[in-house]
Amino acid sequence: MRKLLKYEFKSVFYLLLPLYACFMVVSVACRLFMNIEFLQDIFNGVPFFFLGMVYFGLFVGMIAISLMLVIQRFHKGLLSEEGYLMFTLPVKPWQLIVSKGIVATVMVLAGGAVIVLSLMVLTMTFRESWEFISSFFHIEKEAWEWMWQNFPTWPLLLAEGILFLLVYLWKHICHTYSAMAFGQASNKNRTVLSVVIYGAEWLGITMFWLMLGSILNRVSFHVPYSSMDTWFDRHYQITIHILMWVLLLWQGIELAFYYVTTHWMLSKHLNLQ
Amino acid sequence: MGTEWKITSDRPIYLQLTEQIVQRIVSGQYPTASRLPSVRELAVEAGVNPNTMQRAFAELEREGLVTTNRTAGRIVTEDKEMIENIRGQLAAQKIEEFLEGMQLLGFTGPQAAKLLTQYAQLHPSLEETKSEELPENKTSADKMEGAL
Amino acid sequence: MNEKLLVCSGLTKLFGTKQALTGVDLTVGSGKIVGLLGPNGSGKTTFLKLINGLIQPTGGSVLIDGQAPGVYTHSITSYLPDRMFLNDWMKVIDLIRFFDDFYSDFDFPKAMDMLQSLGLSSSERLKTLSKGTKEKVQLIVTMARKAKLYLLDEPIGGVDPAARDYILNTILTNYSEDSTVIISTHLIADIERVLDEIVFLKNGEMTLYDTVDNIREREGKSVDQLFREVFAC
Repeated sequence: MRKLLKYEFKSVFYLLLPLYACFMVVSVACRLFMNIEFLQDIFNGVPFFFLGMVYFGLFVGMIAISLMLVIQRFHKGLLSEEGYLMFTLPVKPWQLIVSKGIVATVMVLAGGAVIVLSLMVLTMTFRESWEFISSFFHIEKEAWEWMWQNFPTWPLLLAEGILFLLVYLWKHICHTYSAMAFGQASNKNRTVLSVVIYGAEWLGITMFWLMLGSILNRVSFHVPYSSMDTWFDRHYQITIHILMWVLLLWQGIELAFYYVTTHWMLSKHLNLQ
Repeated sequence: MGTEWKITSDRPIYLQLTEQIVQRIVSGQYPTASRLPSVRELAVEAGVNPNTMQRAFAELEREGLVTTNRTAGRIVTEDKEMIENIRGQLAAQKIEEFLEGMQLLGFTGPQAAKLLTQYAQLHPSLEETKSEELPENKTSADKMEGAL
Repeated sequence: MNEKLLVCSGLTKLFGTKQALTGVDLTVGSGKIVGLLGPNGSGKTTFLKLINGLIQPTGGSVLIDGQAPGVYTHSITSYLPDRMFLNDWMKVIDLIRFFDDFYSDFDFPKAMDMLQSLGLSSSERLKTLSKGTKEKVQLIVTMARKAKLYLLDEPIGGVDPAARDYILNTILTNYSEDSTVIISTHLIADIERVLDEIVFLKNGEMTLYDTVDNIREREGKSVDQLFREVFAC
């Protein structure tokens, strides 16, 4: 598994790291132009304009490439020629999927971090950004105390929130994987089939929730609102946590569905061309 | 190495290998009682499947020309008599073929023999190498007569 | 020695309605070099992919050393596909390390030796190599393993005669009683004498499975000649 991750990281970041670096350099350059006025006026501001364009292009390009890589590393790395290498390794299919998934996650998070960093470079002075960062960790004292007094379990909530975002991200990654895994089973029109499956899976799972919702609606909720209100007043912490867990469960079930179908297709119905 | 391995396409490969090993034994390239190269070495040298080479050796072992010694590996038989016998038989075969060919050209046996002697004298190099490589001319000639 | 290294029973593969492979029953023991012969499109590649689990049979089964394709069989099978599996960003040495990482039976010094004797540089990027050179690199990483079953799909198709001789020589020097090599090809004359058994595939059906010498004995001609007659267009 470690070896797989090593290989995956190498195969992605040999491309991404230079891109990140490039993006940051352009950010810093943009910032310089913005701060120093005489630079803006050189050649009627053409270089400045040009730089702005490059920044914008890189910005969009980076997001696009990161998303493309998520798909491409799975499709090219497992379902095309390279699959001949990966699927004959003495490793289990879940290891292949999970290693791809982890790298995709890191890729998305790293991309996000680089973008935030770049925006900070562009918009803030050093002091401002320092304050910005510190405000993250040293929230105003009152707010801090308020949180501890009224919501002492907030670190847990924070953890739940992060977990939720991760699960949400994984779900989307796995959804694309699942669609591609179904697509490869076909002998032709794989891409078209993948896209169709992607939509169909989404539709199917939405229908499922709607139906579940309507059933639950009929069965339960005889509890009067007033009593719910008082209950919430007394146990609002637990209620919010429960709510978070319901959300987690909701996304978790979708993730599980997509993961299980991906794994099932790749282990039982692999069809490399 | 002396001779090259030659594999033609019409007959089983193991038979051709057997023949060529026999040739190497009677010509002295693999001397009497000497240790033979391993099957694997020979297979690589001849560019053939090791199992086929193995089969060729099995054939030779059956004929008694090669024996397997647990410690020393495969050994050419010490039985000089046997080697000479086989050599005589092979020589007889060649001569028969030669004479048959000459007969088709209208030569009688003695005429052919005379021509052969003359030819050998005109090509002394052939003569020399022959007598060098065949130290026991007389005995094998005897065997040949017996075979004929 | 394992008399049943590879067992296929009723192995069938359909692509849509097209019969790629029909009811192949075949048992191959270890210590053999087997030629998988047939013209293009006769099911050779399909057969090898089934053994590797890269596609799933429509019917029948395939067992390698008693097991269905999976982690264990991959660890004892060394497969040279008929296409490039190389990742562009890697250097030759990266690929060799990759194999060394994943396969415990990989012989690193041997791979380096083979690179050298084929005159290849280990620091070259795979992307920049010519097709023939890539094929050689793939062959090296395949043959540098000490596997029980080697599956070579058209290993001599695109390479020059010198490399072809080197490949055959490698196969012969690599030979061991515990391992079996299955070579698929449509160029039989070149490799006939290194084979001991051959399988004829015709339109997805196995029409012949015998030893080379049996065929020569029975038919009085080489397998190559027989092949040309059987598959004459």
